[in-house]
Amino acid sequence: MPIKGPLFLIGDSNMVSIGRAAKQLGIAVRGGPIGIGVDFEKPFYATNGKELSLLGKKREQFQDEFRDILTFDGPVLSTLGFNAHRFAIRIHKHCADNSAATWSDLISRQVFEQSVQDSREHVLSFYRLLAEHDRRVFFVHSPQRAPAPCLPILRDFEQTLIPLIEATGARLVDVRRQITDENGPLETFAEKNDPVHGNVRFGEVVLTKLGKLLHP
Amino acid sequence: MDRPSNPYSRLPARNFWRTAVTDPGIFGVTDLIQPKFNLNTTDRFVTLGSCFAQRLAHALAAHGYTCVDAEPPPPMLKKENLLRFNYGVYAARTGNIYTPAILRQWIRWALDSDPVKLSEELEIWEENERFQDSFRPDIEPQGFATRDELIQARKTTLAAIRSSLTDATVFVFTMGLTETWRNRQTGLYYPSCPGTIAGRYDPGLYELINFEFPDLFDDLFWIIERLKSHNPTLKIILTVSPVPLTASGEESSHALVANSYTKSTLRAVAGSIERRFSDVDYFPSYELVASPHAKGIFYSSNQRTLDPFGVNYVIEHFMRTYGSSNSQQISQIAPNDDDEKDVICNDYILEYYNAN
Repeated sequence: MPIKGPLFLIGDSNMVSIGRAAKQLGIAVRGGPIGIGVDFEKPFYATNGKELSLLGKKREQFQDEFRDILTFDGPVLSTLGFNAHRFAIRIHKHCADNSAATWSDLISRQVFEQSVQDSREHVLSFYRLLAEHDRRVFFVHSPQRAPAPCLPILRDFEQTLIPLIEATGARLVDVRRQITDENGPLETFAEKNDPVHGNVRFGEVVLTKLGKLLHP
Repeated sequence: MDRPSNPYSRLPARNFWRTAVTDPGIFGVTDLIQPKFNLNTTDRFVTLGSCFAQRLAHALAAHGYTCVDAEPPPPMLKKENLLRFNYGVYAARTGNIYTPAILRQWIRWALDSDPVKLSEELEIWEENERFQDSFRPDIEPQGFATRDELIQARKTTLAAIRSSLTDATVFVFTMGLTETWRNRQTGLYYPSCPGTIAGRYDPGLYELINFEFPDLFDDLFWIIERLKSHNPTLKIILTVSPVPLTASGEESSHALVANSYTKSTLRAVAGSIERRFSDVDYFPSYELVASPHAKGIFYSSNQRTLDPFGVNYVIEHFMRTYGSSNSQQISQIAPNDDDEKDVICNDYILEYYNAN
């Protein structure tokens, strides 16, 4: 079922392929990516009543586009929080530096979960803000791409983050089964010459699934 | 007429209370010990002990010294959660070690234990389907998710202790208490009374031990010899925490009197050990803060915990004593007001149980 009506996109670089797909599919969209994942590991927004402002010089150019996201008449689709490869690579390096095969050889699940929560503190607060303004929010996981040894960490990261975002009332657009098989991410959905991002086909799969959620 | 010569007449001013303490005053006291070695900023410290050891480690790091962190936290944990999970507090996640017996236990586990037997020695406390390591009950606030996870965490910490003791050039042990709790069946010691931070108190299983000089001496002597055999060039500094005990577990004790017994016994043991080893020093943090010359000014209003200036005062003396290359910067470094909040004191929990 194609998506009817306007859709507000907000996210990191993973939003690029989704935005492109939306345009190709003729879906009316606002917004788009507002930075790279690491930008959202620090405060990145402020509010003035129902108006949103984005923090940081890089985001000045996006101010007008995102100002009314809290009052926009339509659903919001976000990739915020899912620069999962970065988290996975950092934890993998921590394991390697400490001669551990997996994170669970080194830290407890409680510590792992706390790390996820701490690293996504500002993103989670943004999802709560959207909920406070009665936004209908959907979010999508990463394209499941990272260096092979980091993939199990990426999956554990997302398994931890997803319920935290769902607890704000947002709904997951879950296409993990479509874009992966038992060996990991499928080449078909990978951006060429790029180690982490999905391509437009990934974006199409996301939007198709979103359409089913919006118009069941 | 000249007085007859005697051994005292040839001694320097530092040997006499008036010229060494009264006249120079609190900020003029100097030259307290004659160190057996010097330290510099290329040294790598392992500090273990009571909560005062944490503050010493923070201060050393603030002065450009390297404190070994053999069990570093994962990236992206916030500062308050580092402390909650006991990361960055000591070289490994041991929690506080108040007595030589408990340090001996950790070193034996880390350097000499068969991993299979080690699991047998683990006493795991289970509550609400969460699992606590009885020998460090505050490192995982809500307990471990499974027994296996707890055992794995124990192995990680023991490996970290091993590597830190190999990597260190200086080992600082701050003793805090003579009282501890022991399992009557296993003979193993706990850092806190079962039932306070975690676990359940069972008078049939647990007993209070108030160590006396001979046992403390034996444990500390064993520790020094074991450390030296593991790392022969290791320089060792013993200190006694000037922080009074929070509570005595002996029913007949008054806290003031119990504290005096505790600190004086620990001080005597440290002195006795220091005299027997050419590369073990006693550093007088206790005397610097708790002696009459200091008039109690380095204590906070509870007359127990140290004011940040007290810690800084001790560190200044430490730097002067051991010939820090950056000692001229010492008095320019302001104490960190947040330092006290960042220190984890298990025995603080005891105050919660003070029904008075």
